[in-house]
Amino acid sequence: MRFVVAIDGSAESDRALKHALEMARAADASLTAAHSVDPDVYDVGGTEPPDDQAEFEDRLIVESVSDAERRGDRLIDEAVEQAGDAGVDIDGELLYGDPVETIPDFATAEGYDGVFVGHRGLSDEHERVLGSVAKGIVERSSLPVTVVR
Amino acid sequence: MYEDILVPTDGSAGASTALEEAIDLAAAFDATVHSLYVVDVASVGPETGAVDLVESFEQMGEDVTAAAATRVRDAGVDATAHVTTGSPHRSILEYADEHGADLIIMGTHGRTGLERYLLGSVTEKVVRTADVPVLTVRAAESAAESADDQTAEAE
Repeated sequence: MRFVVAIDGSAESDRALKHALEMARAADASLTAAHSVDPDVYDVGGTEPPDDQAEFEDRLIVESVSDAERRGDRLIDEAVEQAGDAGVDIDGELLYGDPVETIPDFATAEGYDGVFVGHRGLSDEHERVLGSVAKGIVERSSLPVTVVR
Repeated sequence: MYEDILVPTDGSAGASTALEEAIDLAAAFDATVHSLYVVDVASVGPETGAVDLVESFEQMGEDVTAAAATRVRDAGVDATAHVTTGSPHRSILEYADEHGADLIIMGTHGRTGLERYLLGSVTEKVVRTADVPVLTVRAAESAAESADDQTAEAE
């Protein structure tokens, strides 16, 4: 059995990794820690909406792809180290794009048996607006998905 | 790893696929499978005859969970069957809490087109609000068309 665990460095993803490691150890399965490089966009402006397009562009800082890649590599290295401590066979995979699409597509294409993903404890209202990566992965995936809070 | 696995059921193909997954996991971890049917009183409404309708839903719940428990036990796995009344997702979370379930398994629709991207609303709410891990399994499209066709189950 081979499972994918989606990691993004959040506390929820740490819990998903921990759960996936326990499961993998108990089921003698192997894991792939997958991180999708999806550069963050930061808004450095104030709370008021921008007056015009120029101000809007000044306010946004897009993380460079190479920074995002380095962050992904570091997260995967940490996951590999954690798995080593737990005695679980693991490898890493860096994907590119929206994790809601890349994680299930990768897991399906590579014939994995399931996916583990963390879920943020967003408020109802917050989540209705934003949706969540976990929900998106559940909706898109044809494989079993375990959502860990 | 897992000791008590909760599988809410409504008798649908998705629930049947979820049960299959539960049996595999419970067999591997020597866990108990809890089959739960929730009579959704809000769906019945206050019309005359509502009491009869609730009773017939309860009967259906007994039948569906008993059938599920039999299927689980036939696979050599411990099973329990429960019917409760209330709002489905709240009742599922309450049951999980009260019985110390460490995993909830639920089915999603295996439909094509737009519907493929819409979870069942109960599954969606449980995924969003459960404290314990929720495992979602997609019902095979052939199974969605013939809920009782167990030959459609893939390994």
